[in-house]
Amino acid sequence: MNIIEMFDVCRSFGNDKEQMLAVNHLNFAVPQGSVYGLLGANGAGKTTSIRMLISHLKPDSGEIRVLGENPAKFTEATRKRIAYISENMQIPHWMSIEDAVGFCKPLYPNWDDGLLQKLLNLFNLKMSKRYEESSKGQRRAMCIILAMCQNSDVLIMDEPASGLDTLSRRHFLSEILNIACNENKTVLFSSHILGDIERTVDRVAILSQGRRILEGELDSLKETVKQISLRGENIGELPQQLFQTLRLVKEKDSIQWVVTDYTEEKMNQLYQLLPETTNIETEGFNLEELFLVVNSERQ
Amino acid sequence: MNTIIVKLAFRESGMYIVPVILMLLGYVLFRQDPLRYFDIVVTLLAMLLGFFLSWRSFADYGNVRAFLFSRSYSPSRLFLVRWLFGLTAITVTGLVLVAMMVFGIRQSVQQGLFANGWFPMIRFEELRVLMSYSFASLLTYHTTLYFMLTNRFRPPVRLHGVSLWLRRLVTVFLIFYGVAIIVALVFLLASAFNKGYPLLGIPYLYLIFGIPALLQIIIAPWFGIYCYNNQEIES
Repeated sequence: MNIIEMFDVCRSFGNDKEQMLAVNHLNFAVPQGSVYGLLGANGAGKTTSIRMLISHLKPDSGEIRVLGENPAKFTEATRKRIAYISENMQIPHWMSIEDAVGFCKPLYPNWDDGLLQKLLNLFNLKMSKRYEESSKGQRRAMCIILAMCQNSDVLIMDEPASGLDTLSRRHFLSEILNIACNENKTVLFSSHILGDIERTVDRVAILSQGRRILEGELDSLKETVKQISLRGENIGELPQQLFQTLRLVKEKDSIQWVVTDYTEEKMNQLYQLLPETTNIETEGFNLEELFLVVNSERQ
Repeated sequence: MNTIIVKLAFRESGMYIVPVILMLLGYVLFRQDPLRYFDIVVTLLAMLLGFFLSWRSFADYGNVRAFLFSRSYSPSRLFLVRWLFGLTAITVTGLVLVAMMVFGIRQSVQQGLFANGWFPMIRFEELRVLMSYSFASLLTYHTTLYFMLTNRFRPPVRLHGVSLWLRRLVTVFLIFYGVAIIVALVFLLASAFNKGYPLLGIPYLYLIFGIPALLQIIIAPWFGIYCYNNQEIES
């Protein structure tokens, strides 16, 4: 069952003279219990997509469903089941952690005081710590604590670890994994830090210019997205119908062909279709290389 | 859920409205001259009360809005509870003023401290000051609220898709009340220098300020909920 779904969603900004399409017919779905990563360069549409998921923005067209409901019409019962952190979110500056907990706890029936203590220890914070007296990392930690202690079914996070030190980030990510694995919660988060994504998620969508370029299980993507390097003088016409092409670079006597649906069977077919003198090599990508390939294609 | 929002609204505005309310009550309690329909001090303090209630309760600064609008209450509830908090504060203050006059607290203070010869004759007559209090506080409260909501029409935070007629309607209201407030202040200043009561103008002033004040109370929740449900929240 999909907890989050986006169908053909578009969203633009600006007036008629200068309009920028931030999200361009975007489709993706987040299965229940998964940790889903949203990856993309600056301006790819990650934050815009996330804001639409929690009804902070309305799409121009398309359909969005979170827990089966249109975000614009969330009931309060559904709102209780969704936790959200954004990169720049702030709590009222006069609040201490105690004040913030006092504000949030009554709003969420599943509030977890045990997790609250655990996270306070992890982030080395005290209940009396005021937001306005805190560093950037501590402020981020406060927002994370308030979101995670809600014990919601869905956790939607936009660059949640921004500003955290390495150790805090590690603790935070391992806690995310605990939540997702042990309690079957669904987590969606975006991050620029590829290492965090690679360490944490089981599914990922890579966005570029508002579109989903690649999507799927992380391990599966690494198996199916490959670069096929062809060298030879008489390669001839490339049977492009054999694979889905992400990028194709032709040089004088070589071709670099990045495909997204690589299988051994298709590769064998390619061997048979090309001249015997053609030198064929394949190589896979790690997540960072995948990200770079996607973004180099769109430049 | 509502209690949480009320506590937040009071925490944000209390530091401002409590001193104003105390000044207002103190002024009414200790003023030796009879309170007229239009008392400039009461009017200005009432306007200050309305302004602070609106400005402090509804001014979600910067990225705090992302935090407040992603809690489990709906945007409609957030607006309604905040709005009702302001109305309640204005009403309760008005009721305290009424109680001070009706139950003879002002009379006791005036006769005890100042041997004020106006009492007990004007004890209930002075309830007329509630006209300037209620109109000034309500009109300022809602006009400030309208301004703050429509301020979100402008980039970078916009009311995406708000229909043009609605924006024009709100703009007309804002212009009308801007003019009305200026007219009222001029009238009050004239009254302050005029020792007589502007009795002949009272029915017209009920018309000019009373009906619009009532209209604002009716329109405010509808418009405010619409704005809160349709505005864009920055991340």
